[in-house]
Amino acid sequence: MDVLKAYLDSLFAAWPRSDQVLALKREMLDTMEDKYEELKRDGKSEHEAIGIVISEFGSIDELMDELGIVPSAASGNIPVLTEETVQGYETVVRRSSRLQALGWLLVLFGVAAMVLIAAWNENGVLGGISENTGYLLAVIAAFVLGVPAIGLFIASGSGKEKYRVLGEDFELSAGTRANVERRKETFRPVRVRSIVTAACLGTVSPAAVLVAAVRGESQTPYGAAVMLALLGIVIFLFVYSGGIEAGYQKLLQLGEYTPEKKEENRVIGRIAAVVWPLALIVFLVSGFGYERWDVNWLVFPVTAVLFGAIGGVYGMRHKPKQKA
Amino acid sequence: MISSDVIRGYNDTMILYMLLEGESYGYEISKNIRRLSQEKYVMKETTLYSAFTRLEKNGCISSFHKDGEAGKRRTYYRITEEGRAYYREKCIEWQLTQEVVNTFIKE
Repeated sequence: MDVLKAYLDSLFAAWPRSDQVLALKREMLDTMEDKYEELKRDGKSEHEAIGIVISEFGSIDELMDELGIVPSAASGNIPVLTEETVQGYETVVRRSSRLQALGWLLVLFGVAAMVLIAAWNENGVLGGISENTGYLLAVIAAFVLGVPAIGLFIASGSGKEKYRVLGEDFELSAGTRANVERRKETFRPVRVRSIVTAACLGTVSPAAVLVAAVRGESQTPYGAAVMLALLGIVIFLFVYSGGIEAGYQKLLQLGEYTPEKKEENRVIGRIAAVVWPLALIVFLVSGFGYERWDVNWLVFPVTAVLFGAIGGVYGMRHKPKQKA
Repeated sequence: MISSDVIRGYNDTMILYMLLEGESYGYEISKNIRRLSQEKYVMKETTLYSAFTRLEKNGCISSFHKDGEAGKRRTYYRITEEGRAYYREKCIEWQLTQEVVNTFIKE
């Protein structure tokens, strides 16, 4: 009986889906169906039968009191986010992910442009200007692309203050939660495509350096510029799709956003803020200073592996503490 | 129709009574309570299942799965020794309650 099932579903929607609750719900549905069938056999119409069954259902609160269960949303002083708040937050997250992703794209394109112009300069492609002017041009190119990036990073933070509550304890009503889950599901194909594209580009990007190196030592910086530009697209895709995914996870309090994980992420975030710029500096110095474009790109995969290891060790060391 | 406030303390007793003669399942118990009360009392679904939960937790009944008639798999309940003891206690309690309350009932 679909009507009875829908009725029970709506009544149970606000309650946690524990095994006990689900078993009880199933059993109650059986009983209600038995009753419905018997009323029908006694000559009642479908409508009458359903009316009687529902009128004799009773109060779901009575049952949950007995089970000692509190509703999943509405447990006292934890704020419950409204649908408008949630949608507002999703809009802000989309916007800020886009701005951040664009910012990173510009930064990497800026560095790529700098490497490219410096290489032209060294190979004498730039024509009649002095070598110093050439290097100056390279730095200017990096700034022209890099400075707007800073603006984008700053702008990406605005509008988020309103949603500080998401960093603390909050709850969603069952209906809102279902809506968020649906929207997260709609976004999934975009995210999967982004990750696959980014991973392919990222894996292929060092090939640019290798190909360039094979064509001659003077060509290597061109390869480095191409690789940096490709990495810019990789980071764009990761930051954009990852930011939106993180927004959904934050709303649903999944994965990285369970209370225990929040602390771990803060620490790892601080390490990342130091490690990655350091890697970029090593890359640029070894490239411009020592002309080692052929091997210095390795600093990025090495940093990624080391960084993953640091995160793993931190996670392992802090697990027992959480349990206590 | 009886006010559920008054009868609340005796829902468990009625269910245990229905199980004294043998195991049964949710709908059968609720149907028999209605029949024995001559349609004067209908136990709500949530009241029934609250009572099952409570009685099982207290060890008065135990549940198990069994294929009923027409091959429908159901949860059956059976009374335990504790359940029988508890039922006898409740019967004595009711006798006393009845005597006391009756003292104050006119017509």
